[in-house]
Amino acid sequence: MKKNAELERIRKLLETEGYITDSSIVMSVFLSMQLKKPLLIEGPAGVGKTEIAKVMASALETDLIRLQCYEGLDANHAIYEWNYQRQLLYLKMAEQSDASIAQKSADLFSDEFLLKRPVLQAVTQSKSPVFLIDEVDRADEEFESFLLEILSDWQVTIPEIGTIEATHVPYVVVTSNRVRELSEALRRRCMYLWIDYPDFDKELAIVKSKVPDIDKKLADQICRFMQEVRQQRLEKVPGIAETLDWAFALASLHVDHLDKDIIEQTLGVVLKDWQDIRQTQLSLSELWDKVGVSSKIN
Amino acid sequence: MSDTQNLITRQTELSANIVALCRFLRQKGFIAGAREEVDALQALSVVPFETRHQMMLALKAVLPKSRIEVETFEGLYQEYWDNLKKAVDSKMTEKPEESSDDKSKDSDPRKKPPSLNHLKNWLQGKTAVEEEEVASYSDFEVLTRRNFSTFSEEEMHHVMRIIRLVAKTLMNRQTRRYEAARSRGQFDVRRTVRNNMRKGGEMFELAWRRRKIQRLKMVLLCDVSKSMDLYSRFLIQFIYGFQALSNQVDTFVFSTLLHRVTDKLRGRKIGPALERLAEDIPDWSGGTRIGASLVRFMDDFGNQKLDRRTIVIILSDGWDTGDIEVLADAMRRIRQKSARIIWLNPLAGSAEFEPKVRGMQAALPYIDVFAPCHNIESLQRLAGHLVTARKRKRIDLRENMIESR
Repeated sequence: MKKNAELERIRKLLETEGYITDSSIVMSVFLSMQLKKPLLIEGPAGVGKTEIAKVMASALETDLIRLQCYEGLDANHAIYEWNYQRQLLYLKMAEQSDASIAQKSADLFSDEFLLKRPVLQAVTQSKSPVFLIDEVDRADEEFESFLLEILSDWQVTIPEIGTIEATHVPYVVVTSNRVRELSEALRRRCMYLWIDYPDFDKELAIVKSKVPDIDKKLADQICRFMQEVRQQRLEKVPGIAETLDWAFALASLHVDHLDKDIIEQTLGVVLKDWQDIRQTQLSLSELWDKVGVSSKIN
Repeated sequence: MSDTQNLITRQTELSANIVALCRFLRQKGFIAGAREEVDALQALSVVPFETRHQMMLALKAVLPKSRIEVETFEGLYQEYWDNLKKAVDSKMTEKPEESSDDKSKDSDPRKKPPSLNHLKNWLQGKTAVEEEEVASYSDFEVLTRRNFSTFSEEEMHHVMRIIRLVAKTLMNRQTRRYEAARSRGQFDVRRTVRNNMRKGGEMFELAWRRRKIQRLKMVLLCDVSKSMDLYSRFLIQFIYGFQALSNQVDTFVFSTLLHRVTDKLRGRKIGPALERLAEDIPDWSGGTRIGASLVRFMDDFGNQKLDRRTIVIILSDGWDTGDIEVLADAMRRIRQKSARIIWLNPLAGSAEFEPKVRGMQAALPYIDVFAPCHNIESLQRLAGHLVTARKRKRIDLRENMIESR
């Protein structure tokens, strides 16, 4: 029973932070926290992968440290770096001073000249932070292998200072947009969570929670329309982020229901690709009919 | 509560079941090794599995490691328990079903607990069936075998030289990473300062850096259907030349089916290699289903073979007898996953050629470089163009296109 309460607590925490979940997500977050295993989240863009880490951090009342990955990201930018230029200046200034060599070198390699990059930050917190490694698929494969080492040892070796071991192992969230396939080794080290586009009910709940003053009918129509749009063959399928943008936009225009004209005028909020927009405009009548049918059925 | 209790009375050890489940999943292509077994057991020890559903959720969070695995997990999980139930029931009524099953004789009784015998047999029977299915060929495949003649040494040598040039240009790419260089390239401030620190901060040694060159991989997809017959002599040289060049090249041929021929071409003299090919690929000179073959390639090899440093070269005339939508879709998927798509079309060599073939037209929007390859000159021209264009840029090397510019 106690354990069940814990599971329920996480659901509540996520929900009070405004994150609408389903049982798979709650279970994965719960287990990754319990087993202290990194959580690898994959899914299309804009379904709230990054959001999970943010919500986890505020639910645990701890810091969120974010490492945004990009092609060419290397250890210097991920772990730590000495501030060489400042060190050099310091040396020049210290030439005249009477301090001993030992003292000078101790000063030279002190915290003052150490630039802490996200990994080093993550292992030196006084409380387990949430460490978000965002869009890991953008970094190249060399970085992935380096990441494996960090995730298994949680220590950083700085030759001049020594090895720094994590006092509090961070909660790790790794996200990927599947731009490229991640290595099997990394997958195995993590718990895997696939988040897909939400179904109608979940999306409606999200819209209502994030845009509280939206008209009920409008929210319903927006979500139905989004469900239909995602059935199309699109270059860039809109995610929840787009739904919310659209809901905000329409709510602030004081629109209380959708019609074809409004959709056509505001389509740019939802679709971000020229061809997608054109294609959707062409099939708008058909789409709109489907929305009408689906709202009558329910 | 009652569900779990049931499980426990039936199979006294839950851990044995988890191990068996993992074994079952492994058969189905999951990566469920010892590490995953441990994870699963740990997960179950912290999760309040009061209902069967919660236990499933917990295992679902731990065991699958990719999207496909996530999606198939629930079905497989159900399948496992159903069959376990059957196995246990048959054991309870003491009517061992496996005696009638002739496949049980090759199973090893030492390896598994007796109650799982049925499950094991079922598993083995299942895989045997799957293997049979894979080994059989479809009816519409044309089972013709061609005898490839050997090529003259001199001709081969020339082609190889050009191919090497093409491949080299293609496969070396500058990256955003830097590597240390000796006195050329850019001045590396960071390393210079670092290296000279021990000399009291005077700059004695200068450090340099340059962009790292990255070796790209290559996937070759060759159409060997009837319509390509005229060019097959040249085609084979081409494939062989690429394959012999580096072990970063993977070659597939297709007409109605897709075959991976990398290993058959590797490390052999061209003569015997070609004989092997003609023997092993029954649908050589068959019909063409480019779209279906490309889909097959993406499904079976896409994730392993393609990434953003892989160049895909497709050699085909674009005569597709299958569904054009399928082809367009496959091309889109390949484009998403690869660095570049180069389509070499032997027909594009003639000045009158227009890509009016439906297949070619469907594929064209996704192609980065479209070039003719009917003879050595056209290849040479391709090499020349690739040297100047490194980025992902549309290039069309048809003669009429160049004149019109």
